[in-house]
Amino acid sequence: MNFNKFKKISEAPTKPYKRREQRTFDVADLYRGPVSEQSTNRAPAAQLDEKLRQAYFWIVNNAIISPYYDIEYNTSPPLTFTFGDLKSIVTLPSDQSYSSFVLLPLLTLAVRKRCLLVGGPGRGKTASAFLMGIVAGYSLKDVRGAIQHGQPHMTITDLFGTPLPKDLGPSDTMDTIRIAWRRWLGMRVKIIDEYNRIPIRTQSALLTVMADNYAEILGHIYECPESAWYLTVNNGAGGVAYKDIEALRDRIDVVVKAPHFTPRFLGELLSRVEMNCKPEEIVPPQIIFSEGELDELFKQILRVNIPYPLLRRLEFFASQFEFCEHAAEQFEYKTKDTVTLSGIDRNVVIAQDTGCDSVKNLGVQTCNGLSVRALMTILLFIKAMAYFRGDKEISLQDIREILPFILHDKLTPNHDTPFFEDAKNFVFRVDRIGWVRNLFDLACAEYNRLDLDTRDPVGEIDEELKQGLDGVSEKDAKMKLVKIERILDNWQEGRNLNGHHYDDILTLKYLHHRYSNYLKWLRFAK
Amino acid sequence: MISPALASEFREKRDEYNDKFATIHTLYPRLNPEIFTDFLTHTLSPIVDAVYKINRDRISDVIEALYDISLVLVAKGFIGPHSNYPSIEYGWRRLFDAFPHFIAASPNTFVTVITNALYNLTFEKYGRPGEWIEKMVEYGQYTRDSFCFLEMGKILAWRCGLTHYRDSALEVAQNLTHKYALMALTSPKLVEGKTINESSFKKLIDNIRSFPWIRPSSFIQKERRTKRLKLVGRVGGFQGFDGPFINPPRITVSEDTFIVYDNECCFELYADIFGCSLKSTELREEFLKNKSYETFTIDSNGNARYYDYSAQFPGLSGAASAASIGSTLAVVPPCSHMIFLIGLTNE
Repeated sequence: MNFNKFKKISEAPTKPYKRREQRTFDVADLYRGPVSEQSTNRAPAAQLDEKLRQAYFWIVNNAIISPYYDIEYNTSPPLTFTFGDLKSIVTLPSDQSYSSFVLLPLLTLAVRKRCLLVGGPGRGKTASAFLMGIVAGYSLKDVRGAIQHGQPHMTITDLFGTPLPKDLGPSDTMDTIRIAWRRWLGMRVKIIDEYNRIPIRTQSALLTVMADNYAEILGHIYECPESAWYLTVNNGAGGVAYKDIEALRDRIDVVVKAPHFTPRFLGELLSRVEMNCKPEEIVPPQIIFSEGELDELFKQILRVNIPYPLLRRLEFFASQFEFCEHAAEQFEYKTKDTVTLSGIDRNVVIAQDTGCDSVKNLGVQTCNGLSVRALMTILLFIKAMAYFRGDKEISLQDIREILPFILHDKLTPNHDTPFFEDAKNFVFRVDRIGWVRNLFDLACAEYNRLDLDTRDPVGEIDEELKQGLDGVSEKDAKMKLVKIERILDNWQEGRNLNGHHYDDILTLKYLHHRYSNYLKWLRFAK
Repeated sequence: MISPALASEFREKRDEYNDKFATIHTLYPRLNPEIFTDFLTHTLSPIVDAVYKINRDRISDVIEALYDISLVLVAKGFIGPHSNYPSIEYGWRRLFDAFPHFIAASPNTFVTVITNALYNLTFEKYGRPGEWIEKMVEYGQYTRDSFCFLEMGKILAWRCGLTHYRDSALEVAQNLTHKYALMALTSPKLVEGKTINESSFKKLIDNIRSFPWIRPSSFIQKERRTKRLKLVGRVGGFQGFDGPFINPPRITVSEDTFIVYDNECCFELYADIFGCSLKSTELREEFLKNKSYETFTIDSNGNARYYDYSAQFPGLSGAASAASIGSTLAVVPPCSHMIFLIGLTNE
């Protein structure tokens, strides 16, 4: 058997970079010299982003045949071609681009979040999750033993462990009973295969582990380490499927679709069959991360910078969706959440609003807004994306590419709105990724039209407050209050209330209250 | 007398190892079999023993990696009685004997990077490989993770004379778990039992960056010493006395780096409490423009002033050339080939 082909690791650097003109000394050069590693090319031990890329390229070239580049980057305008009656567009990206099916599980491993792999049977969902376990440093045996296969009779005991039988008899209290916890609870990669075949009661127990990182049996707690989760879904064709509990589904951070197999690559499958090998058995050690390396990787990802202008765009995008003018009398409660909690049909509420542009107003397209959890996940994954590309700060494209996979299940489209009735938008009823990306593009276009990079009075006042209130005089505080009141006064004249206005007004109210409290304190202190 | 594990491996794969030797010998005719055998017996064999005691399963991979790298080292003259790199063999004996578990985990990678580090520390004129080895042996006892060990090694390399790696090493420290970064920047004894939060750690890094002539350990010790201006180092010299300069050099600053040059050569000068290094560079026209320095000055009588700190250095009066970056003033006295460094220190 010749496995040499599978042992080849992409040569570093996997992402060509522009050499800096200014000479700098990299201490990583300490470990380069007259002796080179014997077997294959490698990245220097500590360039973890390089190692992550090498892992990606090994998987995509040798393990999971995924010749797709649906996460696209460009350094110059890409070539585009249109096909068919619907004018379907194919772009040829001009910069390194990636397959979401391989990249996102890898990023999930790096940031220790929860990934749902969806798709038809036999498309490599479980295989992908399995590989992540190997890349995380676990042996084949460990990963095999750790996969939790959903089945209709699965109980909490099956999932978590059992009390030791010899302790049950003589014990007078629960405290003296020891629990034989299942080993998978302590692993840093957790795989739940076909989780919708787990009964609902057991799903609830699983939720505790996913949400709060601990398992409980008979009053005994097992605290799990931070880990990456991979869940797959059975499409119901293989037997009983339970409804997944919403809270569990809500804990999923990113949804990745297993793509179809392109028959042009049948030859690769033939090699696999003839060699009788499985990719997880031949993962090169150079792309396996130790626990220390995964911890360091996570820390390095956290240090990736998000420039303020991009953060503003993300804020603007996020502010589009929650607002619902007819939801309440109190300004703070004018949200879709209020409507949902009331139990009333949301379309009844939306129908009250005859003034807004139901095509241009992005908020009308969704049934809900973005939760804090979703926003934090977005921030983490866009950092991870930039880190993966070797960048020290995120770019707009990182946000555009990653956002749809995170919001796939988090933003619910409202198919009853006129936007989806338009023929050219019909495809977005089906293509959730495309829909979210389109939402982001529209939000960015509106952001540019409003010139919010240069005209952001709320941002200016907020920035001044962030400098602190120490040393702010009574006169200055009063001026701030007048400034805020003037902005609100200007805005109240004949202006449609949109999502971002709504959030800006609430922010101004917050700022006004901070300054007025400070003013009261100053006067009291006198 | 070689170790039983090594002997057994050679017996089982005799032809394979002989072929390797023959191949390298063809490429490097000066590969001396006696020197190689001596190295196998006295250096490699004890390492194999140490690994065998803790991990028998990996011994074959370990021996293969050590053998292959040893061949290259002996062939290139890095090992042997006339080697200019005695620290490589010494480092192998000390480090690989102390950390056989790291070799067992990843024989090829670990041995390669350590060997290259020893080479670089020796190659650099101002590097102190012996100090690095001893520190690695001491500090490595506090971690079982080879990644952390090697990252600490980078920081220690800066502290052992590779001062041009200062900025890069501090970046490594920022990305490393605080406990190990703190250890590598100061010492394990100072850090034992201590924890440090994110903001204190950031402050420490900022202090280290701002005060290159104050030891990092000072910032975490309770004892406060008075800072003063002091002669902290000297570097350079006449070529005839093993220095780099033909003529008395001039000094200037470009992009926060000292540039030292004479008619024939040009260097970047990196200096701090851990040493000095000169790195050859191209002389560019912008270097010749006179740069003024405002915060750290020296007058013709040798009176140096840096904010509220002042001191007199009579030997540096009438300086031919001077430049400063932060709390470091580099001065070239008249008719001298040496660069003297005045710094704000607490030693």
